[in-house]
Amino acid sequence: MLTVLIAAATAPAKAQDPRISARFPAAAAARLDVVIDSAGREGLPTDPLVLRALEGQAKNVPLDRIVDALGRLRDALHAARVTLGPSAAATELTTAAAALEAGVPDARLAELRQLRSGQSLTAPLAAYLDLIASGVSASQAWSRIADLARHRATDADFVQLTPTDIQRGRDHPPGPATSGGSR
Amino acid sequence: MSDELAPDDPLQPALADLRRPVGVEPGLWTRARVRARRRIVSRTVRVVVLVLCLGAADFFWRQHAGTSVTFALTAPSVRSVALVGDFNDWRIDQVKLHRVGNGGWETTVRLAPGRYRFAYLVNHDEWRADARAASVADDFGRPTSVVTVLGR
Repeated sequence: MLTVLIAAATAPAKAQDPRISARFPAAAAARLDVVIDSAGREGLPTDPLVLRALEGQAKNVPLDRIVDALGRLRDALHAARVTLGPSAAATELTTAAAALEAGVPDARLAELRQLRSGQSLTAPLAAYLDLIASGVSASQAWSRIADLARHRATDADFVQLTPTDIQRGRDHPPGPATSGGSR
Repeated sequence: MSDELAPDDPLQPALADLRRPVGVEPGLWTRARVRARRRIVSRTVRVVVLVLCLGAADFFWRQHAGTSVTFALTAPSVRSVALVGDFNDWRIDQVKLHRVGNGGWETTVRLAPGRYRFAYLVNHDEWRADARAASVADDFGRPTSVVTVLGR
């Protein structure tokens, strides 16, 4: 155990993401790297953290707020992996982290994992979040998502859900229009 | 046991043949070196061509893979609108929307499957969400939307 700890402490620092070093001054990049590296050492996906940092930089946000946001996102990714298990894919973890950040209880993630065993949770979670963001109550949205998951619905079934579908049971995709695939 | 054959050994003529110095054709080594170099150059060229072909295929795949997503904003009295998000590393100057009439702005990009946060940057200084897309909580106090693209 001690050997592992020593090896971890003395391991060479992982190369900085070039997007971070290109967009932040060296001292700021070093602070961001502390958070990003800690996620990487846990085996969590680091791309969402890099993107959140870039978002903060684009929006001209003070560094302290960016670092805080990254810390919260890392914690959410960690919690998502604890709930979904070590085999969860990076996209699942990212969406689950977004759900946790939005206030979805982790028990709901665990339930969805059970209902959709062996299938990706990305689409149902994304649909759930989108419905809540569109003004549907969390319980109503969850009821519909869980029902679809029980009936082994496809990813498209989830993502095409709209607030109106909750009342009418019809599918019509809102937001940016997609072609050749689905939204 | 000795390695030497007896003088009357029937193998002696063959041994004598083997011991006779062999004349080396002048320039043989030079030609062999040139041939070896040519082989190396030829193999290197083949590897470079293969790498270039793979790169071209990757570029083509990136250009044509994914799903076309049209982003649109209605903003009649603005000078410029940029699409900024996870899909372009939040670069504010990479994807510009073009006017489509009646105050509309639009652009279409190809996106790989995933869930992307994005926003519009209007006149280089004002962030706006997409009214038709879901909004997401934003740590930074700016309007932010999200779009989900599924695999085919």
